[in-house]
Amino acid sequence: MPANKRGGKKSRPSSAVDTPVHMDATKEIEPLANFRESGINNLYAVAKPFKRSPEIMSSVRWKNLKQIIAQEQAQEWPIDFPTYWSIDAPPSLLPQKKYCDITGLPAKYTDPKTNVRYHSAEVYQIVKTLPPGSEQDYLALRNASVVLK
Amino acid sequence: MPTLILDNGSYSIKGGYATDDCPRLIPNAITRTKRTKRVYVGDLIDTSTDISGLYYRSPFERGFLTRWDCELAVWDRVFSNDVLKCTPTSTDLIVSEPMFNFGQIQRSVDEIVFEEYKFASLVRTPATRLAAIGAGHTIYGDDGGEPECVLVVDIGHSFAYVVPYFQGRQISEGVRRVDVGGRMLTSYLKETVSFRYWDMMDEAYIMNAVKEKCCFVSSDFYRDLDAARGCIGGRNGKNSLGLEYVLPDFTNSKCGYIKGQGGEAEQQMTDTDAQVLPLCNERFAIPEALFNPVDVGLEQGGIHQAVVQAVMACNERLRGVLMANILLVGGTAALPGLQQRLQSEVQAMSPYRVRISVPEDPITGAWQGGRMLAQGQTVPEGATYSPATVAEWQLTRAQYQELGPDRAVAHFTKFI
Repeated sequence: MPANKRGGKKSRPSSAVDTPVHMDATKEIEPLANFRESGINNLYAVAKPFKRSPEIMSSVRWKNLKQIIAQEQAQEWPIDFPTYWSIDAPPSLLPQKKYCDITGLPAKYTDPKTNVRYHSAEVYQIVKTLPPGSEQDYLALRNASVVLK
Repeated sequence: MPTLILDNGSYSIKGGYATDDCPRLIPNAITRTKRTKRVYVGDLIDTSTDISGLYYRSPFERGFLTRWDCELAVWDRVFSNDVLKCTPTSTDLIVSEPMFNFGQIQRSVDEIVFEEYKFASLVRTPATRLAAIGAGHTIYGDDGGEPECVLVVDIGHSFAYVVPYFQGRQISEGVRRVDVGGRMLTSYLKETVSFRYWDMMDEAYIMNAVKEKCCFVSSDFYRDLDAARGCIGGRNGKNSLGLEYVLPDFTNSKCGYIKGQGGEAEQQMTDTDAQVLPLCNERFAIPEALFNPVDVGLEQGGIHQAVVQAVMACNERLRGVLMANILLVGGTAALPGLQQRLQSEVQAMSPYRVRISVPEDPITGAWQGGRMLAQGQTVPEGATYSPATVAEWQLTRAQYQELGPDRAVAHFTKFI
């Protein structure tokens, strides 16, 4: 068998006429035609392809890029370590900015009856005269409406 | 003990000993021909005459080495008696890897080098690091070794990296990447040509040759676009920007040639045989993707913006020096006109004076740096920073077996 650059014998599919790879490489041993009849108790005499078997060096052994990336993600990363899959910011500690439901300007006031936010007294005149259903519609825009089942 | 330097790129392997002047280029892929259904490893494809519809199987996936069954076949070919005649057990190896390589892949490289091939020692480092070592010769013209401050722009097959180096260490927060490389430009050219002229979607090999022979980077895109208006392949010699590329017929020529520059192959060809590809504004519009990746649908900035961002991410005191020591390496950096265009674009955005240097052969830029590392020329005389000599850097086989795979990977991260 031609020796290749990988420092071992060329790996090829094992066949019945393989010469055995002897653990103690001082002498060759004839391949055994019939294992049982010989009453062998020295297993070194039997052909055992160990690391030269083709499955070991096949593509199944190496991970492809998707698996490598998945493995990296599954590792234990410190909480504030920036990675491509964890760029979410933590929840904010500052109070929420409120905007008027009618005009969109900054809203400092809230109508206690309906929880509609408004910018100034002028806007409140409009809020007072809103038809009954439309208040809930304004609140629904920011997911604050009361839904009665 | 001879040192083998292997610049393991996703397009080609640049391999050679430290005693060689220039490396051998072996395509890093296994190719299969369509009609004759034969498989060629690495550079054996040059012996084949049937190169239409070539199917490539590359060991690299998006720029990272994951398919070892393919890579082992190519490396066996590279180390064989026909190419480099290497006996791994008595050779030191310097191998390059992509930037920010995965730990898994680094371990697999170490394992293959030491367990499978049984090399005597290994230095595994990003390709840009090797290019930085050889930068002194390109930028200053002497053999003074690695400059203290250098910005390496490596435009390769899979992507383009901009990496600043200071005193031999990379400045990690200044590293920038643009996902436009030779592969993207070849695909872009394939699609454009297939839409306009002939269907070349299967012909990556031929389109690659066309790109290398015909494409250039224009210094003023809109002016050249106006000049190329109405030109279809420079017929009747009216437009200097257009040319006609004669496609190969696999009997006279293998890759094709530009009409008028074909030499022998052209003389043997009669006019009726020739299948001609007229190229005009594709010549400079394709490499424009390097500066405007938005053209190809990538939401990234161009390499000029990457250079400026990389420099601005570094310490204020280093910025001027980095701008003056920009090194352009990589296969795609061999495009004519790229250096001037990048120089003008970056200078327009930078308050410092910009100087971009390109080695005579940008493809082997990283390999030449590896050779200087192997020969011990890393640090200029009188430098105050500690040199990363090969002796400290390399991991011998005995050390690898003692440290084990994880600590072996950690050994190299010390030198990043």
